[in-house]
Amino acid sequence: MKTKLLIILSAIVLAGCAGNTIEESNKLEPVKIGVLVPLSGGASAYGEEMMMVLNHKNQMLETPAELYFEDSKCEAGAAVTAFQKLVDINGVDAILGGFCSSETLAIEPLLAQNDIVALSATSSSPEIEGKSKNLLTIGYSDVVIADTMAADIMDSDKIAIITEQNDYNVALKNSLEERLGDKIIANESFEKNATDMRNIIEKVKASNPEVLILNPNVGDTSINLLNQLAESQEFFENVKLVSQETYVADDSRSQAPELAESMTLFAAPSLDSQEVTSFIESLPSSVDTLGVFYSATASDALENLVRSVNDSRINQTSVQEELFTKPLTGLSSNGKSFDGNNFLQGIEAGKYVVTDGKAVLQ
Amino acid sequence: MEFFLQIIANSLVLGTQVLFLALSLYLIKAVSKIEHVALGAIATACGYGFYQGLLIGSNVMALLFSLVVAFTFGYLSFLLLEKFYKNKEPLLGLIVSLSMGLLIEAMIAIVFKSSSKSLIEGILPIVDVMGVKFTLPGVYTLAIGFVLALAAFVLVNKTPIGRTLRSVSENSSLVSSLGINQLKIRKSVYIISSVIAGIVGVLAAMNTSLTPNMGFNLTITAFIALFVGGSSDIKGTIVASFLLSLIPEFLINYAPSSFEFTNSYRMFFVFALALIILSFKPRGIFSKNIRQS
Amino acid sequence: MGYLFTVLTRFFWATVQGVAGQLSVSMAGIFLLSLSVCFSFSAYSFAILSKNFEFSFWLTFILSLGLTSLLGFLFSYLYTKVSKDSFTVLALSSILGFDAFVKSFDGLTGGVLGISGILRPAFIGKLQSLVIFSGLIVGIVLVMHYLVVKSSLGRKIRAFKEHPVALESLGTSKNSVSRFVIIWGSVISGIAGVLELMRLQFLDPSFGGIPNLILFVSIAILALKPKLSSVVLASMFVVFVPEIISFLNFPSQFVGHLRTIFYCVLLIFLVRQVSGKFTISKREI
Repeated sequence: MKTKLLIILSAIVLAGCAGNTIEESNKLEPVKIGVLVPLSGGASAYGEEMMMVLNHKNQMLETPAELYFEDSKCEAGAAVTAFQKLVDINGVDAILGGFCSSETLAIEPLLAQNDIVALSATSSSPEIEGKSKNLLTIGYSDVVIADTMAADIMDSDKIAIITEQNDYNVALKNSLEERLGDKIIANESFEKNATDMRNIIEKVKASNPEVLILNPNVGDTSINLLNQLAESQEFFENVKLVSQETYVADDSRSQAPELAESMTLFAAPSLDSQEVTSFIESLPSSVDTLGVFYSATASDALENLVRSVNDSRINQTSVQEELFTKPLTGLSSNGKSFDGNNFLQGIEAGKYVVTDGKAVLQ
Repeated sequence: MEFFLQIIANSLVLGTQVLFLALSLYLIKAVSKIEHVALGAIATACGYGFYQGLLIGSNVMALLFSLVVAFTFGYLSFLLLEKFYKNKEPLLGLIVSLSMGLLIEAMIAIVFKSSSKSLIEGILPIVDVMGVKFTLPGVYTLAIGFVLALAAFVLVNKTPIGRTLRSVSENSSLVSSLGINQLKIRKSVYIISSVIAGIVGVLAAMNTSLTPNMGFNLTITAFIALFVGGSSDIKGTIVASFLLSLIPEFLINYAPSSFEFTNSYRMFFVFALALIILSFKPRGIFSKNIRQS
Repeated sequence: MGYLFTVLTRFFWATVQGVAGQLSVSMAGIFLLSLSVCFSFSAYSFAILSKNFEFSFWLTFILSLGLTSLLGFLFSYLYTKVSKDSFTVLALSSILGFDAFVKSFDGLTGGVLGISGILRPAFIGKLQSLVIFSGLIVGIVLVMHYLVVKSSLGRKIRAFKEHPVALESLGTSKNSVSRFVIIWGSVISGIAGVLELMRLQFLDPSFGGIPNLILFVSIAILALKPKLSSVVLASMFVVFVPEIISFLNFPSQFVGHLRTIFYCVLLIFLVRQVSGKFTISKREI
């Protein structure tokens, strides 16, 4: 009896999976966008905020799209399964994502097979460049940050780096190692989401660096790291602290303001136009984790994907062609284009210095 | 020298955290022969209970909440695992305990979200002891850990209570015939172990921050320490807890730079150490070779 | 159809992994928790060999299984040296140890960035072909498992769990039985790892690990009876039911944890059900 029940259950599932739910796209059908975001795991705070931003932006579009969210967990396996579900069950016209670079790289081989475009708002691994042209990203490449950061600290011969073992941070570290070479005298890393970095800090102190590059991920580890560094504040007052976008948000430095004063940060350029400010203020809740830049890129990714799908239907072209051949619109990508690359061109890193508790663009 | 001493100090704090959990594991193993690996998740849950109490507004509430959580999960553990003691299936008990631990962590992540919480905002107060810095929660951890280790050692090895504890799992029918209520003893031990785990959950969270799976790596290290030290030898468990914290740190910090050992190698070294020690001393580091008939 | 094929591929490798779990946990009573390490190790071996050498798919496949069997041999040696409890500790901690190894030796394994662009050979280039190929592999593994179960070796394996003293008195070495179970179980897990790798074409430290452990232990406990149908049905249940649940509209904070919650509750329930029936109870004098 149990066996029969199980077989019937399996048959129902298989029938459901096999049922071709892909409706034929036509001009009258709403645009369907599949979104890959981490809704669980360490990156879930980003995913939740991104979902909020996209839902809000969607309401602002002339013709809102149907958004289908799937949990990619910042993991390759989950991203691939989620991708297949979006394409086959939901019949989406395009993918917004992946969020983490590992997800984006994992779905890349599937894009051409399924004749679908993925536009990521956040992925930044240099490995994305050179992949299939169905994979595009409007987040800036780690190479941009590494180039600008390395140029700024090239005069020093004693550089230490502390990195979180996360795909974004390790990719940035690798880019920095290529540029700085032997100038790096201490190169420590800690596990993703680790909470106790005190021994690493001691090891870095023992190397007596002139410059310390802090390379944790945005969120809790960055706050923990800064707090634990502040326990040796008298030592680090004489060391130049450098970091990336992690410490741009004032909240990330609020618990150790004295140590963070004069910290140099390299991140996406400041987006302080009236349009961006109004958009951020109109959001139903704060984007402390995702940040202003990635909220803007998420909004732009949705806007441009929906526009491209609509245009492809009207012009009888592909979504990829529409994205590739026309300049983008939006808060951060206005007027920019891909110029044959996977990364959006024309995004430069901004240099900020923390002055009186605020990250000030230089 | 300062660097060396500071590494030892930080590793001692970490080792004491492992010791708390290893002692809890030891006590449960002593009465029921089951490795209750969910203790790390229970420690985390107590940390969140403490956090919730702080949100309500007072330290007393925080303490009360965490105690209630410890008691609840201790009792729940007893209810879940007692069957495996009776059926003499400790490895199945391990599977259930592991599942319970993962379930607790998932529920914490759902209720409190995955982002970390701080029990103490801002920079922790530092205690300087002859140039070596300890955080205040780290000092509490060391002090309470020392007292606990001493008390456990004396209790288990030198008192009738300790003898009773050990005999409950060795010969339950004999213990019953002496009029000792072994069910009550096991229940009490599960609850006390959960309270001990809860203490380390709160202290570890104060020293760093509170995340849903902060207890997992700590539990695995404690689990390894239990066997490396000898699962029936409390002295071995205490020593192994510190060995498995100190040795990897020294390897990471003092190996030649060409090896490029970083902090992420820690669990790999813990595993390698356990492999080496258990290969030569299967019964624990202080075990003697016993003639087997 | 891609989603169907994805789910089917997952079902197939879960069945293969379930066979390894049934053989070691249910039949032999060896809590070979390191099977998930073998799953990941085989995939990494395949990926590293295919990226660095230009061997054919089959040669790479065989080499990676060969390396996995060596790993299995190491675990089997350890099993004979240490106590059961200590072996369980080492097997469980090997999962974290391997994870740390993979993240740290990034020159070899790609570290947290992983290894991308692992190409499928032309004959399984399409997902549909991969499904057929996986189905064939599962068929072969099931046939071999059937032959083992029905043979005298299968009886020896069950005797190893139920009455090891009787097994020894009949002239069969316990060590040889345990060695076979561990090595063969490791190789079968390795096959599952390569099948999943072929589906993903990408590898990073999140591959395998504790979720894989929970998955195959669930199948092993569900498939307590040494029958092929038990493994297949158990795999169906463990793979398809979470997929059905994921179609229900849960709030977003639940979505990512559903699978973990499902497997853990299932395990707790099942293990409590089978307690007392796992081994034949000895008559107490």
